Amino acid sequence: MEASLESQMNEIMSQPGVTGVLCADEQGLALSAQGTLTPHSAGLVSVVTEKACQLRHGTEPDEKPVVVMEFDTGNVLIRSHNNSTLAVHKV
Amino acid sequence: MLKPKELTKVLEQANTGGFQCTLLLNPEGSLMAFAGKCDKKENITAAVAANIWMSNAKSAKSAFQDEGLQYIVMDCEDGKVAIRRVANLLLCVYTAESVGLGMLRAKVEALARYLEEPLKQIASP
Repeated sequence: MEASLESQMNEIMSQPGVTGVLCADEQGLALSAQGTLTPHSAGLVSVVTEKACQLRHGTEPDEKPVVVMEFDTGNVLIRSHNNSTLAVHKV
Repeated sequence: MLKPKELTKVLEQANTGGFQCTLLLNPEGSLMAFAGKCDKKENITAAVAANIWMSNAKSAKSAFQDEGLQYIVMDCEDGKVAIRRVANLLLCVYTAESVGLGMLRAKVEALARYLEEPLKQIASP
């Protein structure tokens, strides 16, 4: 049932520099997680993108921002689409 | 009408990626169909799941005074369990510890939506 999601996750993980990938649903529950991003981060990732959406002044209502969090160990990129949120950890 | 073999095949579709067993039971705890590795404990699992559902449903009804309990999700030491009402029956799914709660919820919801109409035809009101 989840084969297409898992194949997409594997494809993202195979990209250069990607060390972790996480997909969460609209309630902040983990759908799938690989690498350095764990299912425990799903709630936080979901909230970050939700709060970022509240900052959209002068943009299209449906436009979703890409949130980039910079760490010493790399960047975490987060974006929501429809009812799911995707986070990618890149070094 | 409902085909028992097809019903098992539908339940079997959920048993991938850490999903261990999918059961369909009535509120009294009698097993109607199951798929997956239940270690020959499917009848016991069904009875326990129904018991958990019934005791929580009573509490929920008195506490919240709403339509009734929709979902129970349990995050246990060795895995996760979800129980959901489908028509007048219960769908119980248990998974490995590694499975995300979102995936558990999504699969249970997908199965329940698919089975709702056919099961309504055979389930007593």
